[in-house]
Amino acid sequence: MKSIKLTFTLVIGLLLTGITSLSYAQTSEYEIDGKTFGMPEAEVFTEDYDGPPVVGDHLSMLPNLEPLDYEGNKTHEVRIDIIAQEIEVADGVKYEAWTFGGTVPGPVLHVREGDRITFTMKNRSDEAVTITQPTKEGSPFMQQVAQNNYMKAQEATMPMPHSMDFHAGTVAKDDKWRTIAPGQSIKFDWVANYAGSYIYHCGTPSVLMHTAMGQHGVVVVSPKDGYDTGYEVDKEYVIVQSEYYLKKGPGDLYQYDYEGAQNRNPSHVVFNGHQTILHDQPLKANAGDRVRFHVSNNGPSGTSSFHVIGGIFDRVWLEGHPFNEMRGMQTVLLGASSSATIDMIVPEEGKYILIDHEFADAEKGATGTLKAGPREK
Amino acid sequence: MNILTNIAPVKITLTVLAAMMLCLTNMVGAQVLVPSGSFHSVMPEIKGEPVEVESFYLDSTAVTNQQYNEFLQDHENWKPENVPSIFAYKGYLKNWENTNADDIVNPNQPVTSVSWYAANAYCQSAGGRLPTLNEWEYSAQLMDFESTADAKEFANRLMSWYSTFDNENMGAVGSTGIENRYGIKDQFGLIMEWVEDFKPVVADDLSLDCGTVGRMQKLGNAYSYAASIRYITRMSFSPKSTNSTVGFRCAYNVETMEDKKSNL
Amino acid sequence: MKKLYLIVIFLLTAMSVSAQHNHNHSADNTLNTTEVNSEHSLYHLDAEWTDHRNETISLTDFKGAPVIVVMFYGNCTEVCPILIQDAWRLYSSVDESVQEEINVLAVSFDTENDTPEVLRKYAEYEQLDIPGWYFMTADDADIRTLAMMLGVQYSKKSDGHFAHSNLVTVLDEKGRIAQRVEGLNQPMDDAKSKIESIMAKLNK
Repeated sequence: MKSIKLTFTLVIGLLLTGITSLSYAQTSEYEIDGKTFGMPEAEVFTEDYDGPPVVGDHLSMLPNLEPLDYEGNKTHEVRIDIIAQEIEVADGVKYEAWTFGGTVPGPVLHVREGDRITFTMKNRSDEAVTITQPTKEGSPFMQQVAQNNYMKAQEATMPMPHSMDFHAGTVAKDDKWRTIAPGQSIKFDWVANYAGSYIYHCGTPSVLMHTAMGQHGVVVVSPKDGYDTGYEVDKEYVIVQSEYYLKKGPGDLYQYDYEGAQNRNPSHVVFNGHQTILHDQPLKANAGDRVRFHVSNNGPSGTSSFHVIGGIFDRVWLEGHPFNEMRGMQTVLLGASSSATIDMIVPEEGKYILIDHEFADAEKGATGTLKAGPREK
Repeated sequence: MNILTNIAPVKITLTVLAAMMLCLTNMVGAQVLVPSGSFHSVMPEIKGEPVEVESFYLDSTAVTNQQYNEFLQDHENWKPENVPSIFAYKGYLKNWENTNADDIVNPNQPVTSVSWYAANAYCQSAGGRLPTLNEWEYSAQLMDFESTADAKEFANRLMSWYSTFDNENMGAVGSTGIENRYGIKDQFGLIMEWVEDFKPVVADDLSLDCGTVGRMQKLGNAYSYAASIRYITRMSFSPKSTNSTVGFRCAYNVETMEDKKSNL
Repeated sequence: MKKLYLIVIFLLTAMSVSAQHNHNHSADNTLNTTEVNSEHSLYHLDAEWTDHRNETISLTDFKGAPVIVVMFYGNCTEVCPILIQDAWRLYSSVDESVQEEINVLAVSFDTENDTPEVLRKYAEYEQLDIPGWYFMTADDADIRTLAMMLGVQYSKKSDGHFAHSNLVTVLDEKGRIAQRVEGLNQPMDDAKSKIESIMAKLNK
């Protein structure tokens, strides 16, 4: 009797494994509602590549968004390598970040809804890579970092396994988001099926540690027919909120604060990776401008109550999707890995403070400045 | 009579030689007996049962650049210029670049940027083997702390260390001051180390995602959290990986060591 | 009734194992064909092996023709006989003229129990003490190295048994991985045609 019971359990157990496993079966490409699914299997390989870590025409450094200078859809060849980099995140606070492309957050990728992305990533975390040499190769990101190295990025090494999880992609994570060892590369395709701003991050455990160490960024997927507004915006900026969990190490550098991360007690909450960058280098506009903010809260663990002091959000598209339109919002609540596309009319000449209205976060750094000049129109 | 007196000096010489050899090994580290026992693994397939480990010998310190260079003199096939790509990624012994064999940089630092294959071959030639994952982890947990506060503080430091290795200013072996109760040094604070079965069979079934750390944290403290990070990092390597933070030490079966000793 | 159970279990095991292995992407991908299927010869492993005839052999002895490799252990009474049977299915699916050329290596990872003598008995029991078949053992370190190169994982459990991957590998005439069949009771068609195409190329 006992053995029958055991057998039965075994059969059920195996049946369940069988079914769940079979559900991962590879399918060929197909469409539902005009969206493309069923990407080819990812390829893991080794390569001798030692060129610029960020390659592609539509990759930029925050807060810039590279314009889409093409009609319809295209396939983007994108490379974002993983490198370790010593960076400054607040005055006198430096640590060896784990990064996509060398900055925290990583480069902003801009594509159009329906575009296909052929993505390549090499885990170069055991390689000293300089990102601040002026170069015409690679991407606008590389040039922008060389011109404006506000994180004071310096090469570093810290070999660790890593992976890439694009929230903008709809694929099987056990294939495309695979972890690769230092020295390995991965290549896979995905299609930007949904318009909006989507975070990307490293999905290798501990995800908390990997993301907090700096491995996150944003993909902006513009709607194929744009937002239904009847106007053009004058300025467009990308703002990413995130937390650091750091404490002073034995030397000059700061290190990961495990307890702080576990207890959601960040040392710094910042916009665009640096505590004062959006004050040191304020965003610019003029009175009467329509400014569009693509705001993403990359966490890893906090929420953002995004507000602009002195402004009201004229239109808000939650997650950046054109169907999710809201009007007249004072504050947009963003959970971890949540975003909004926000249009605001700049009222008059002066200073406007971008702020996480959760004041504990604001006082840890989550503020920035929009500096408005006089009305020109 | 003559014959006998002739033999005696030879005997003495051998003993002296043996003693000298022992001294030499003592300088960088000796093989230390780790008595059998059990420990709590963070592996999710082990349901709270302590893992039993038999007695074994373990190098008290990691293999140094100097020791590895000596190995290369007798095993030319492991020199960087001879190693086929099936045994190592590019970057094998990359920190030795621009130095010749007579001029070993940082002889007392642990050798790093060695693949699993190379580490395995070294230990085989040393009459030992790589420690198993359970042996290594068991030894690493045999640490005594004054208080739970000290243990907690140590575990927190461990997490910071796993986020930032200072591999440019790596210390010599034995320099961390961290050792277990039998004198096995630097299992933390210096390098990460290869183990024989670094990719346990369950590695394939563990989906390496957000929940994995939580599932691995059996003890729910920073110590087991750090252990999860270590397991996951280690199992993500390729046997060809040549990381600047990864080295190794060797283990020896008790019988092998006893044979060795009785031969001396 | 008992038989029926066994068949059901058998089928389900085969199904789940195969499904898992086909779509299982370990972090490092030694199990991933693109990673291992590179142009590297396993014959770089310079080790001494002893077969069930108590003869000393080296992997390079098998150079020049395809080789089928499986890793198993003798005390494994459930899965391993199927694995050995899988190797036999592949071997016997090719022409007799091809069978004469190729070799089958069954490598045990249980060095404690699987002495050459035990392996001989195992081969006889399986009726595979035939030319071209080698049941082999070596130093632990060399066996582990071969396993790493093939992408086979194994570890000893406290009950003396091993947890291990099930894999049939075809090596080409130079010792490079030409085909991998993961899981038990898998179709051998691709592996068979791979052997045949290598042989056709060699006999040109």
